[in-house]
Amino acid sequence: MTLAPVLLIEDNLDDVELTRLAFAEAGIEHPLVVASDGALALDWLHARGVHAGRDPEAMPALILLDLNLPKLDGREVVQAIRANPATRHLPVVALSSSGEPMDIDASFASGVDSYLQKPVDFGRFIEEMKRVRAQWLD
Amino acid sequence: MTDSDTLQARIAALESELDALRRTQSVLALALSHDVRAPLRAIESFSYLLEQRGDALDGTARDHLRRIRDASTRLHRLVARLQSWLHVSEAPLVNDTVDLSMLADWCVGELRDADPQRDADIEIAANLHTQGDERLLKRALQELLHNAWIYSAPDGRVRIRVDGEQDDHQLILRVHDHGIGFDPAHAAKLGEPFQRLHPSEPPEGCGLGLAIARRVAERHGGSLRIEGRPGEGAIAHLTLPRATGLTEQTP
Repeated sequence: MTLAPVLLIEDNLDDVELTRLAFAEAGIEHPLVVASDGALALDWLHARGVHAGRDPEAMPALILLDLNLPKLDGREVVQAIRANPATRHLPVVALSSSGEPMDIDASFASGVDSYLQKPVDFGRFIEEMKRVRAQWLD
Repeated sequence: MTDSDTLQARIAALESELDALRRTQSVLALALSHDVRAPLRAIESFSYLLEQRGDALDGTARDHLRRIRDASTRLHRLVARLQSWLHVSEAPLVNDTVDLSMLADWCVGELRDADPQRDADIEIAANLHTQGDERLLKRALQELLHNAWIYSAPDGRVRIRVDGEQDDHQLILRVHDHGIGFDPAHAAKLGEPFQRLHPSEPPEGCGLGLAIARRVAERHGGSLRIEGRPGEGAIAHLTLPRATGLTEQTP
């Protein structure tokens, strides 16, 4: 059976690579699809623009959303996902460098299901990804 | 132009300058929580991954890698401390009557939990109250009590006393320790960011603890003064406004 992908919306190439490595360490076998900004992510979800040939019915199992993005801010992206009937049910986990309560509150207010502060320590990042797997993918 | 006009113009210029400084401070706080942490995470994580392949490296390469890892750990700690310093500088103030005796007791509980093997005699006077922001005041006490704890003689018992006195306007809270103390000639440096007096200070220190406590005091219209002598311990004098909601208690 083909597993639905995880859509990672992230513009930092180091963080993309670290997420790939953490997925492998955490035993997450879902393929990772990467969108480098919010507009491209919405194009992918709705099979339009550069992703016009994609099957629009094939939705990701999970969206990992960096909040600090160029063009559309992460909170605007999740609001767009929640506003569209085709995507509003998708689980969205916010990723952010910030642990500030104000940023966390604003993320939940915009509609994310969970908030994960990107740890500086890679071992902890693997543990976080194991929790993501248990909560959203298993 | 009248004197009053000149004064108004001067006030407007100062307000504008203050706004610009506040904006700079906010940008700096945002940069520390986002932009600085991203490359730091990459250095820390990729060097960790390289360390996992340590067998493929020779001794010199492993030593260099260890130094990179240690430096990134120090930098991470420094960024977190700078964030705390900026936070106490810009967080909106809540004005409540605050029980400093209770907060000090709480902070000591945290220190005991973190260092359970250490014998400690702690004496905290009751009814030390002030007016201000409880979260920030707890932060200041955490810093002062943490210093008193870590600078206690390494093999000896920790002995700390918290007391205070007040008049109609202010409370002076004092944290006395019996630690290694310092040369009084350097007292004026203490409370300035990044000032460290002891070359052998614990590695987690980066000279911001007293600066954080002092900033909290200043935001409450108060001050922080430290006195000490080598080998005889130190006393931190934290001056804060007297509680306005209480009239009966005296420390």
